[in-house]
Amino acid sequence: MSGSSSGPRRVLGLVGLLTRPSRQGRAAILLPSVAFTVTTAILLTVVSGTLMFMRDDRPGDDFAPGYMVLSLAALLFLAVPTVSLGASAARLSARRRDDRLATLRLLGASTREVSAFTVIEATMIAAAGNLAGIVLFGVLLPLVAQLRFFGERIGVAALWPGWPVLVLVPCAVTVLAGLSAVLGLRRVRLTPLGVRQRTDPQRRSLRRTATGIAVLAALVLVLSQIGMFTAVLGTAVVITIVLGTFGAGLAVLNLVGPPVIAARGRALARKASTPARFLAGRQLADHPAPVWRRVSGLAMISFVAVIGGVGLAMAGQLDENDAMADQVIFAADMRTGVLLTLAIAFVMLSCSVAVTQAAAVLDDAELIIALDRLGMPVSTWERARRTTVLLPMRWAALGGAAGGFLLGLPLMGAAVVLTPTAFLVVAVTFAAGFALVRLALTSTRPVVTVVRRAPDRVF
Amino acid sequence: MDTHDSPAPVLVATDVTKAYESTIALAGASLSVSAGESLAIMGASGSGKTTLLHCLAAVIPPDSGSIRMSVPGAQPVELAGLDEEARSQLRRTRCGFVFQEGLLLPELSALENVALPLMLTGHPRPEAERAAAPWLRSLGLAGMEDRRIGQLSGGQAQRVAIARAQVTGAPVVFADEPTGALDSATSSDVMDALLYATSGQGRSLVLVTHDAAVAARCDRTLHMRDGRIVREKVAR
Ligand SMILES: Nc1ncnc2c1ncn2[C@@H]1O[C@H](COP(=O)(O)OP(=O)(O)O)[C@@H](O)[C@H]1O
Ligand SMILES: [Mg+2]
Repeated sequence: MSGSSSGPRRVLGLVGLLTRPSRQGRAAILLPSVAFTVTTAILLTVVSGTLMFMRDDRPGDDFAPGYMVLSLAALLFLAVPTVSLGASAARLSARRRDDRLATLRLLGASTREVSAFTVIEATMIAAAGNLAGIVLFGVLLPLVAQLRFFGERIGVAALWPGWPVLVLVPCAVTVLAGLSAVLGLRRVRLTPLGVRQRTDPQRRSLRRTATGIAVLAALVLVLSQIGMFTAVLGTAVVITIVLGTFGAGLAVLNLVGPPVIAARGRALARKASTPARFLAGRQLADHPAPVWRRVSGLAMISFVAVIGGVGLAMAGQLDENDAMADQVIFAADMRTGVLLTLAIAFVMLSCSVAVTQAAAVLDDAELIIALDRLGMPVSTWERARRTTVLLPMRWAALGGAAGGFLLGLPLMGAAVVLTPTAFLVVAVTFAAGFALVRLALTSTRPVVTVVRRAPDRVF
Repeated sequence: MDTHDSPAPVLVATDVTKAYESTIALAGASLSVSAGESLAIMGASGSGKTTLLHCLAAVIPPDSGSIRMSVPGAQPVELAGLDEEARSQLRRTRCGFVFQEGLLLPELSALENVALPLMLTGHPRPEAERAAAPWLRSLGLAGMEDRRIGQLSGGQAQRVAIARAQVTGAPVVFADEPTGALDSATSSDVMDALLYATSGQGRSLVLVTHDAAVAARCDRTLHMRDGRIVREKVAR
């Protein structure tokens, strides 16, 4: 209590001390900053795009609501992974606290001071990243302005979101980062030591899967009768219902995902012939929820890829001679929009995997070191780590695509859903998704190296 | 310097130095460890105990000096100058480790934790578990094979770690403050287990400790200061 007046100054004093590279190296600072840069640049771009579609009067009255709903859908779709990327980046910086506690205690800092410092630092990292994000947006703006919508290049003027948005978005992300850092202080460990939960996970997951399937069936039923609603409720409401159904479908996927991963993990561990597969299997079986969360972005992406692919197929079936010019343009814009949304979603996904992987490595630092001491080769550890990401990833991709087809079929009919275009979009999405995630995994290797090289402080 | 004349030294370190940037952690440490001997290393915090242990156990390479490991039935190996891969392999096959916090994998059962080093050397899991089970039993953990680490007490977890250090038949076991997180009664039990599993089986034990009572249980105690060995005490 006596030192409380000098507390804030001490905390600020620590800032200077700790801007030195830590044991975890620069990766733990660099990764979140880059993540925030990407987050802000993309959020700004997407918000600008949505605002443009809402404000622009180039689309005729017939199509204006269509543009509005679709761009809002894209905004919502991209906002979720963007915000969660920001949150995990903040948590990653917050996680550095534990590492420092030991060092800082020696210097006479209290746990509270270290926590306060960590939150300040996380917020500062976010602020710096966000500033860079505004710059990046400035670079992207003229490039995005080259895209063609409404049958012509959009142009910077149409896309310009205005100064309030330019200031508000980064500020909101920074505040969010600070809040996430506070939450992250409650040490969220991927591999918590301690007593296991008493509930029988297998029974619970069965119930969950059953519930999920029932909800999915109900959704399919609703969608198959959607024509009936149109007559009564009007287009806008029906589109909202459809989007809501998609959202519910994704929620079901996230409900069913973890138990499926846990079951696969158990099977993998049971049949494992190598230590890497055995360890990976156990990790999956024991921590399906965080493992799923890391890759659930891909479920969402492949879901949207299917729906978007169907949209493209429909647009492609439009007979150019019969259709009105407006229709042709709307179809082309839809194609651009779908591809753009998917591309942005991929950038978010790979950033997110990189950040969550880096956090997971730091969380598991002690174990990595212990296994290294026991003489476990790096390659074994890397293989285990890859499996814990790629196996759930495959299920997320498949699950998302299956959900998309399931909900797309009653809505649009087999003729459009089961077309080569739709399948092509999905295939390209899968290929790109896996390539990017592998890249993201590789990018976090330096974190593992740093943890292994300078472990002396841990013990 | 080493007046202890036991037959076969397993480890001989001569003038080992190690610096971290400007910090000199080891300033020319020499010692030898005989087969079946238990050796305690004591000293103030920061005196270089852990660094010495890590050099001896091929965890980190020394800057200069020589460390020879000679185990029965194999060519002596000079640890200084081995690359990371070779050191990793050496640790896997010839060294056992017990850490302060046990550092067991919470996702694995007690038995699986003990079997893991064998799996890392290429044994199939069923075989590794069969070989691991007697070690758990001999350390008083019969019936706890399937428990997760979180369901064990600190002392029990540390005995699992001791079993894990034994299972490959490593001729040298390294322990850094293995009782540092335990109360004194539990600490004494764990030392019983550790000595039984090492020198009791003809293996060598190199142990870093702050606790004089723990050091007194070993055959010999070295004291370190400023990266050097300053004093040696032979028990009995
Ligand atoms: N990775 C490292 N980087 C920088 N200095 C280190 C590192 N590891 C140990 N040191 C320093 O080397 C000295 C010896 O450390 P250590 O061997 O851990 O001592 P002990 O185990 O006796 O407490 C200390 O001054 C310590 O600060
Ligand atoms: Mg030490």
